[in-house]
Amino acid sequence: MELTKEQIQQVERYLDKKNFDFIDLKVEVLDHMVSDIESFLVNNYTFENAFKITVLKWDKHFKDTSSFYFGLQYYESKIVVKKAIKIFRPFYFIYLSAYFLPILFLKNTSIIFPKKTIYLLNGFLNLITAVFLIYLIFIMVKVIKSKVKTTYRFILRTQYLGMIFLVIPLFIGNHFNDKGNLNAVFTGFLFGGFAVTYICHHFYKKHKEAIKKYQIS
Amino acid sequence: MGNQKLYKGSLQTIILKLLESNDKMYGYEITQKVKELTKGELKITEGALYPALHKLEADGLLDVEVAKVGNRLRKYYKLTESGSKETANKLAEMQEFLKTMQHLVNPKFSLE
Repeated sequence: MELTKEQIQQVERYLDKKNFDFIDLKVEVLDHMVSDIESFLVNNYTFENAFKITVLKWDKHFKDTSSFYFGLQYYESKIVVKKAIKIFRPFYFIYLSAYFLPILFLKNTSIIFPKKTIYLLNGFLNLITAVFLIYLIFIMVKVIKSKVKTTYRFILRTQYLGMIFLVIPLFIGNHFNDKGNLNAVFTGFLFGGFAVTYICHHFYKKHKEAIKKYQIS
Repeated sequence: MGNQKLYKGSLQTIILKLLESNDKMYGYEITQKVKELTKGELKITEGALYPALHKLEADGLLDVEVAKVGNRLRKYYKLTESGSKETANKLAEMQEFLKTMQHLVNPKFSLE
C-alpha cells in the first residue's frame, strides 16, 4: 500500500525537525522510512500508528554525535557521522603520514643544503605553499556559499583548521635551520598542509558530484 | 538471533552477493531480501546496512542511481566493474573460510 503525497510530507517534516537535510542521505532514509510504514499498512496498522513505530525505530540515528576523526567540537546526526567516518578514514591516515613521515625522515638524516640552494628552495616552497593556501581558501569560500548540505560538506567543514599547517611555514618564511638542514617540524607542517589541501580538493569534488546527482525532483 | 555477531563480519560479502544476483537494489529491499532468504534468522538493521553500503560506494565497488518511484525518490545500488571482481574474491574467501571452519568444528564430516 503506497503512501499519499501528504503522508510522505509528514515523514519529511519529521526529518526536517531533526535537521536531517543532507541530500546524499535524505533520499534513502526517507524511502526506507516510507517503506517501513507501508509494510505496517499492509498488516492493517493505521498510518498514525505505523508512523509512530517507525519514528521510534529511526530516532536514535538522528541523535547528535561527534568523532575523534573530525574533532569532538563537530556534531551531526549519528547516521551522517557514521558515513563520514567510513569515507574519511583512509584520508585520515594519509594526513597523519604526510605530517609524521617527513619529521621522522628528517630527524634521522642530515642533508645540508648550500646557501644558494636554500635561498632558491625557500622561494620555491613559499610559492607552492601560497598557491595551496589560496586554493584551500577558495574551496572554503565556495563551500560556505553552497547552502546544500552533504556528508562531504560536513567533512570539509571539519578540515579548515588544517589551514594553519600552511599559514605557519608561510609566515615564518624560512624552511631551513642555521646548519642548512630542512626544519623537520615546519616540513611536517608543510606536508600536512598539502595533505589537507588534497583532502579538501577531493571532498569538494565529491560534494559537487553529490549535488548534481541528488538534486533532481 | 544469537548468531548476529557471527554474521557481522560478512555483511559486505552478503550485500555484494545480493547485488550480483539482482542487478540493482535499494536499502530497504536488501534488508527484506536477507530476511526472506534466511527465513528471519538474519535481520540487517539500517544502522549496520547503510555504513556498509556507504563504505562499498566510497571504495568504488558500488555505483548509485536515483530514480523517481511513485511519490518519492529511490536510491539504487549496483555493482561496478571492480565490484564484480571483488565479489568473486570475497565469495572465494568465504568458501575457504567455511571449509576451514568445517575442518575445525566437524572434522569427521569435512569434505577432504
